[in-house]
Amino acid sequence: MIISTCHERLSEEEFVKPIVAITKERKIVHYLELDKVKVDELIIICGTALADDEYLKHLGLFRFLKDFKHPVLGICSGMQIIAMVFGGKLARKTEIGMVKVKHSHRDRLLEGIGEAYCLHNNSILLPPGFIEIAKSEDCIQAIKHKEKPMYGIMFHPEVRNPELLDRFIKLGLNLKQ
Amino acid sequence: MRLGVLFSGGKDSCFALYKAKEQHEIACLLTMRSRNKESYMFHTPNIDLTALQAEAMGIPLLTVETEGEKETELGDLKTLIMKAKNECNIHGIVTGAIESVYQAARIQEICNDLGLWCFNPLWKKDQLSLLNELRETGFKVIISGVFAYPLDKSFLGREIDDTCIAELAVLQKKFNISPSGEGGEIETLVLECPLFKRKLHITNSEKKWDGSSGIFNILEASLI
Repeated sequence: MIISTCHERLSEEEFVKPIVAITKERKIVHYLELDKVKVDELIIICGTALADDEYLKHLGLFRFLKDFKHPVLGICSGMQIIAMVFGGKLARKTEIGMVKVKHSHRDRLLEGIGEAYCLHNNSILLPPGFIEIAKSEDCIQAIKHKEKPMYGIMFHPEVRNPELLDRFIKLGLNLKQ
Repeated sequence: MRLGVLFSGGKDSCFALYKAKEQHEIACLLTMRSRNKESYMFHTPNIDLTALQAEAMGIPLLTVETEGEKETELGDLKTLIMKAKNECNIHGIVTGAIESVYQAARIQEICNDLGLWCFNPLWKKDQLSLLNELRETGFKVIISGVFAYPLDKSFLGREIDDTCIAELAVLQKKFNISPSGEGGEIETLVLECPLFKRKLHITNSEKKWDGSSGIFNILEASLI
């Protein structure tokens, strides 16, 4: 399932549809509808526009992540949401465009990724229970939960690293078997 | 939200405008008139025709001239966007960017600096699907510039119809050219679309070909 964090529907053309095109995932839910649906499968929480911070006012809708057992990938705002739900904090840090990605821990999801496209004004401080798996010069770029298949990435894989999304979907399929 | 659209008169900016207008109010169109034909940022052939296209849609047009030098043209673009913010009270900018990280990132930076939203409704869209969607939506688009082998003079002025799309698809497979011209292979001009109250009619034109690239130069056009 894909969760849109876009306050403006027009932004979904840019932040949700490219992920739908890569993953072929057809179930899309807007975060404001999360209290009306049963979430019991792999989820990707997509990013949103640079000017959009609205999702930060609705973090309560994501509290289910605390006890969630299925694979989760939070992209940009999705990563910020994961970090906040698990007790982390945000810091103001802007990255726009391509950045170099340095791996802190080896992880199959990020294998071979050396550059990525960023578009954010907030970065995260590592939440308890997570490890940093990649960073750029200025920000944490990827985190992973120590016990659950839960990832957060600050960059937008749909722009230059679609293989990451394929790997995440495969991870979900492997865990299902 | 009141939005301004970065508008070149080509298919991508016009289709992005069409998509944005379904959900938001379009307060103005913004056109950069670059004197540099090699500009990394801006479309150049027949750029003056955006005035007629804006008239056909009844949307105000703001323009600025730029020498088109790589760094100063971004400053000129920022000046134009700032003008739109101040004069037309816009809250965001729409672009027709599809693939170019360089262009998209530069415009995102400018919007971020000016406290504006930035929308790219065609971002990462499959290029052949985009051409077909344009046809299905009622866009009449011609090729106004050709800048890559094996595209030749015969493509200049051609309408992007089903036959042309099929040919571009073959060239994409064989030569890896971008069928929508996102790599600068072609430039386009919209003659008709659902937003135009009148059609753009070309009354005089010429093909300029230098052996490897060329433009379909429109000398006279009117709205009918």
